[in-house]
Amino acid sequence: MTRVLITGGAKGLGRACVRTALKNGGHVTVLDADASGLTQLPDGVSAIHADLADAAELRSAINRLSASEPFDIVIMNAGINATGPFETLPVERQAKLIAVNLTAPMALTTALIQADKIARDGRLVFVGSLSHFVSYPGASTYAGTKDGLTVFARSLRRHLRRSLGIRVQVVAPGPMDTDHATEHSPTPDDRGTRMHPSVVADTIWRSWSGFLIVPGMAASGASILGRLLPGMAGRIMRRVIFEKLQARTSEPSNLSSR
Amino acid sequence: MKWQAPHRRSRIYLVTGASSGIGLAVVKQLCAQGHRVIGTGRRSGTSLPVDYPDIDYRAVDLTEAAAIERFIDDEIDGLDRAILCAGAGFYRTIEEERAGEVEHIVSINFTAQIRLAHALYGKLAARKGRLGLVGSVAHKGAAAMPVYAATKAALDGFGRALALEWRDRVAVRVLHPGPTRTGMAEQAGRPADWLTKLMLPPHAVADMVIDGLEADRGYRRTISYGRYLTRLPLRAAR
Repeated sequence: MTRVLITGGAKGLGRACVRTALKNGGHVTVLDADASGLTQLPDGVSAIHADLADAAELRSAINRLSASEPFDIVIMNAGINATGPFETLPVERQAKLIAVNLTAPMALTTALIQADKIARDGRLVFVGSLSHFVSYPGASTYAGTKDGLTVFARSLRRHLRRSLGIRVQVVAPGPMDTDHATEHSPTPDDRGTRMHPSVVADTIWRSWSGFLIVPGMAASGASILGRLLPGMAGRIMRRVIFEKLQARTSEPSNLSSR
Repeated sequence: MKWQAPHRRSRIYLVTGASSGIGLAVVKQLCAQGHRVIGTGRRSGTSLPVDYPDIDYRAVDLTEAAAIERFIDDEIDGLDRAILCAGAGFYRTIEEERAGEVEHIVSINFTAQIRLAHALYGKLAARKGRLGLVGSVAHKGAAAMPVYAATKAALDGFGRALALEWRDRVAVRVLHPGPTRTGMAEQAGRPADWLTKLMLPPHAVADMVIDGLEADRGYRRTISYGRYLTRLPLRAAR
């Protein structure tokens, strides 16, 4: 049986990955900060409750994972976001974002590798973001954490494949139809154009080879544009995301002056 | 007579990581150019070498959020340029890394830079200033130091997005030096060898960092050996 570890598996893309893994006969362990979300997971799923922003809870999660059986697939999915003009976002929220999105997956990976908890021929998948190609003004710290995670994976890729036979991969999804993504989107009325997380989860499951996984045609196109014309991609992102977020943040004051 | 840039306005610079390495070289260069410099570093002011440049120096622990804010609120009045050089890292593969120390490297190389950028915004925007983030060529990935590489990539991605956000207010530039002869590599666990002699000299890197911050376009600049070599004749001509 395929043993799967999914961080942040109680909601959103992580939850979709849980469903896909179960459908394919996997045995799933979920690590999440959301205690009530963990209780709603299907029977047979092992749950580890831990807030990855908390250093002590991260350590105890590492201890628990170090005592478990090795995993065939590890999906480092847990992530949070904070959107708005950088200088207006509380800096403590950004520090928490870094802890969850970047520090925790790197510490977890270090511990799993050193405790030999990823099986030979296993997969280690990091959930990055399309922002790696096109940037993400309006979520600067988030964009930084996702670039950091992508390059962490790139640094490990060849080394882990050669020494331990582990395949390291990064998935770079565009906007998805999840609560997380919709909350941080300037336009709540575009659900039709967003990818359903189950489609992304299926793509992750199927992608046994390749390093970068960009699910869907729209995201693939954007990633190509970002690689060929990074400056233009950035300017487009500024217009379609940042300027709308900016307008949203300044709305209350606009209203009073109108 | 010493060559002077044709009429460069004297500016106020903040330099972090000013007690050693690239930061120290930047401070020396700026002083020679006649700018006012405020420097911060880990070392206390009294433990600095006797020939340390005569600048406004403060010891600030960048892992302490409150210390960063206090320093910027209390010590900085007007500011034209900030060059954030402070960084830390180890040559450790994933097998040699220590899960408990990942947090420390991230907090110095990334979180502290975000706190500084956040706290400096008002002062820089008030004078149409510029923010320089010093990264590393390792931002593209490095198997010998995956955590360090990740923090520098995070800084790059952050700088890219922030440059777009602040476009008309504060210019943001990420400057990625190649291996530099600062002693950081030895401290980080890379033994000195013949390659160390080939590393970029700190004063040249400092020059390119200061110039790179003034670049009109492009948020990122790599301070490579090639760039260094092409600048050599220019320096000689001076």
